Amino acid sequence: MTPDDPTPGPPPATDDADTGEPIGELRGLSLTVDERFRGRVRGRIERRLLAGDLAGLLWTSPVLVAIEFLRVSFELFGGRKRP
Amino acid sequence: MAPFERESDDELVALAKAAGSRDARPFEALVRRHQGHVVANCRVLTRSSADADDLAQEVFVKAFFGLRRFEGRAQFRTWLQRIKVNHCLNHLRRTRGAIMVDVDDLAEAGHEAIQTPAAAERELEARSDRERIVLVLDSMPDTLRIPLMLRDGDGHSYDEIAATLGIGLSAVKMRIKRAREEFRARFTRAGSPEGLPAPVETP
Repeated sequence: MTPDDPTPGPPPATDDADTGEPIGELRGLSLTVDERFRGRVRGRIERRLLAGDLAGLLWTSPVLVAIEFLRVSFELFGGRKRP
Repeated sequence: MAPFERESDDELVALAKAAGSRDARPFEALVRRHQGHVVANCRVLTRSSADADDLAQEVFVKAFFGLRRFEGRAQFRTWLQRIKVNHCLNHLRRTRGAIMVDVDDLAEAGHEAIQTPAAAERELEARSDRERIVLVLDSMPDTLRIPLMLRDGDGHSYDEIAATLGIGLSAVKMRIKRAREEFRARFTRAGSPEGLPAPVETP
């Protein structure tokens, strides 16, 4: 209906006898969207990706520290005795 | 010409999947292509311009993060519509508690329609057909407007609508039939010099 939405709508209802005008207009109903819309979507996606990265970091950091601590402890106290 | 204008939805989905978060352009092309329809549907389903923009953005964000799970068995547009419908209906449930009343409550739904702001009705004459459609839909109760949009706006099957709304198949068919009659009558009257008449009472 607008240049914003060039794809055709879904196929018309085949089992309905009374879908003439103006019902058919509903299929292609489209509104003009603010130019900044895509920028806002991108911003939301980037924020969520950043939040995911931070959450991953918060989760992996303590695990990495614990593994390193165990490794050092093992080397100090549990390793092979030197001659 | 905007980038990725010639690619089909399937091609863009494949490109967006391959690019992931490294290159957002293929997904942005999908957004550009479908944004008008998604915003319009969110607008009609929620009857709120303020919410529609926000909801539509969330729909695309969900689609972006769900794209890896999209197997291409349905069209991208159909898949996006499902996300949109679920998201908008969840929003309505959160904000209003319930969106669908029983079939027996259709009379009450008619009463709800009577409460449509008169100012909105008077504006109808001066509006374009598209805006007229939106305003006529605004004047219809949830019980009729939502099934009508799912069927004739999105092309969902009766079975899908019944499952989505949690009502019986015969109730869905009845509501859609009644909604079409109501929509057609209101649309015609909205274009007449008298403007949108008082809503038809649903028995």
